[in-house]
Amino acid sequence: MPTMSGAFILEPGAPGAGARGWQGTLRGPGGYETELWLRLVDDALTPPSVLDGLVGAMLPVVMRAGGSLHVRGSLTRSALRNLTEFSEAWANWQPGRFHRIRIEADRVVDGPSAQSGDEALFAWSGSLRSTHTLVRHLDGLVPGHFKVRAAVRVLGLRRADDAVGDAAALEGARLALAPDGVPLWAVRTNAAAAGLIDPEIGVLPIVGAALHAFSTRCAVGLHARSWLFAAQLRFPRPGPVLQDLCSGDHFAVRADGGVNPPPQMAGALLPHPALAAAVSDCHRGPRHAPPCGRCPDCRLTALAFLAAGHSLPRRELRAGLAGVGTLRFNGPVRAADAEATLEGWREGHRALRGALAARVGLAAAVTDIRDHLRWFGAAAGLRPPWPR
Amino acid sequence: MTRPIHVWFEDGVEKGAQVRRLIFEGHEGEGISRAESWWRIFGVTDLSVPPVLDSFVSGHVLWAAMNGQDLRVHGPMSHGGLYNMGQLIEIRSVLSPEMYPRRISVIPDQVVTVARPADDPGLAVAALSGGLDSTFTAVRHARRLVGAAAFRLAGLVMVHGFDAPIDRADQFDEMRRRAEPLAQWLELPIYTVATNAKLTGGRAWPQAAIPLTACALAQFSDRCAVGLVSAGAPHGIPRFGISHGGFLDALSSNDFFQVVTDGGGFGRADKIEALSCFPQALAALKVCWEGPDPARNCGHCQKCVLTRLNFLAAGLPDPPCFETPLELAHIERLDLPSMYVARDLFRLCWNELESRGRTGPAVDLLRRRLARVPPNDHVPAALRRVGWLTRRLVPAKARHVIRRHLPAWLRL
Repeated sequence: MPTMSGAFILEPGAPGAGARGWQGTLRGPGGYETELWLRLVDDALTPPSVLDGLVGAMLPVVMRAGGSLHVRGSLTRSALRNLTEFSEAWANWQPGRFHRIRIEADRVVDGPSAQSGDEALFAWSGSLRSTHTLVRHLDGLVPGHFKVRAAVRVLGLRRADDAVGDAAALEGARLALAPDGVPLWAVRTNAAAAGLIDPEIGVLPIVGAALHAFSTRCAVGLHARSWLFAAQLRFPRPGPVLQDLCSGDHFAVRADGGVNPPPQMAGALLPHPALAAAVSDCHRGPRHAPPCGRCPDCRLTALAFLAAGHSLPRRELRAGLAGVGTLRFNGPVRAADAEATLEGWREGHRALRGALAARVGLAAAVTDIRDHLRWFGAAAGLRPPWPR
Repeated sequence: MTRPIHVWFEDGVEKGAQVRRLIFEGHEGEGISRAESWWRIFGVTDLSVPPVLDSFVSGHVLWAAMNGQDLRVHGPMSHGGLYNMGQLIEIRSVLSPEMYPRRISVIPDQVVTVARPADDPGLAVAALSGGLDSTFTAVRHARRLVGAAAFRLAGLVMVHGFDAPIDRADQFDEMRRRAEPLAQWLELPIYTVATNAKLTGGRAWPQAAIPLTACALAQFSDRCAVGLVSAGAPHGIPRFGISHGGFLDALSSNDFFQVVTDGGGFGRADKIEALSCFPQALAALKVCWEGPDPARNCGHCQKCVLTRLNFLAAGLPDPPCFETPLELAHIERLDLPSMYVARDLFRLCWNELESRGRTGPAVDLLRRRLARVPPNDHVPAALRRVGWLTRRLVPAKARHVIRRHLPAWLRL
């Protein structure tokens, strides 16, 4: 990450011999230079001439350093506005960490937004949320649902992804999508290896860029909301509530879902056993690898299927009493998912349900006690008023 | 199985004003099966009818969802608009299932493909209530404070029928008179849209506020591709229950007309600081909606005190839009029974005062008041029960002695 604020310049280039996609070099003060590339896997199409996606992917780096960004290339007017708003939103949320950025481009493209049509690309990581988003459109469970043009997989969002070739990394995903006739398009990136994924903002700017890379074929790309709305009420963050700010005039990157509790999402996968068997929320190891079955994310995924009254879709997933009772909630998303799983529990597995209820109850009690201690501390003048 | 509400659209000119109507038939409850929302656009008679009815219908889907009745729209709608309405209903019904018990469907006669014309000038029209947020949005785009990211504004729209009741034209005229110097300075026309839509779609107020504002803005969709509304709070502040977030506002968009929320990356003190070099804008601010006169700031309601403290945070203790200076009694009288009520004061006000290092009696008093706000009602309820028991078991004199010896912070 750059250490000095100042004027940054983003210059596009070709992503390497024989490869199609985008490459951007970001140069900043103090000799800072970093490179991001997105290569289209198994595809002969040319990425769009406007750099909306690439700029969005690089923006968090500049937001951390502060200053301005000049783009040597074209940007649509909406993308310019949206990305400016994106930087303002995060700078307001964490002023010490992010800065508002003034963005300029050699050429700002004006003109009406692309016609959205009724087809969309779907960013599909294989998580329960992204699989549910895909399925609810495939099955027409959403009013005004989109036809699925293709599922888009991004390789390189985890460092471990780089150890495996494209064909091996995508084989399982292709097999899972085949029964539903959904083509898989893929993008490989060096974002994780280059340290370009901001832990607070997450992978959305990179995923958005990957979707933009296919914008000559489709005008809309959908990604699953990463949180339940219920989580936002208790653990506010700007990311999940931003209007779709990775969009431009030629391509819209839109969030979908965020309302269904995990058991409901798992239940919707029942007619798609191949997709259900590919579900993994595990963050250990590369994306394509089987889930570890031991981490809290794997346990919550297993609980979602059991709570929906289904058997576990893959053998790696498991949920034991001890594992559920000692689930670690070191993040609001997990806590909200666990609570929603409990609320959405349909039938069966009463012991597991009891263990989850105890774990959720304990977490709620700890939160309540902590809040009241803060209150007493503030009322006694020992601590500043709370919440911050 | 409930019957659907049938919806028709009408457009015409009456007494020199363009009038549009959405007619609803078959809605259940209150014994009336026919209702209509109308919009009267003064001084304009040449607006083309939009190719899709999405914007008008979108303002009423929450009302229909409250009734649990599907909407059967006799007119064209766009695919994007239908998807957005579906999302809006889905999200709202999850967040407030008691208000929106059923995920209703919107069924149009035809789903059409629409797009802006290739030579569309890309203009925007902005909603103006006269408050801090909408004034900030108008100024920052009209004065291009965001450079090339600014929208080119074609005008400002004031809605008669929201803050000022539709039968109080006198109050609305006062509001408009207050905003006119600002519009003149920005060299933008103010359009007035009078509407009774709050009587029908507005039953879901305040959640319906932005969808209904979008209805008013969409009257100009033949010349403007975008309707700008201002964010009431920075992104990340959860106000789903009482208000809206940028992503929810955007769901009032469709394939022909886009609703954009602006200014969510700024706190209220940030906005005041940005406007501080434009005294015309600050003088025209009208933030109060509880006072008896919608054209003036009462100065002592929750919103007025919040705004006064925002001014204090921005280093302007005596702002021109209030007739009297801030007094400690204003802060003393704030009603803060629980964190739920106090949250806005924390996030929209206290954090800004603290981050700017403001001090003084007003800040000290606010700190003391906020410090006492309990996180929820559990402990206060228990204390009330203890107090009730104590009053019955301990003689008054003994209670006074105990009270005298309690530290100040425990005397709730």
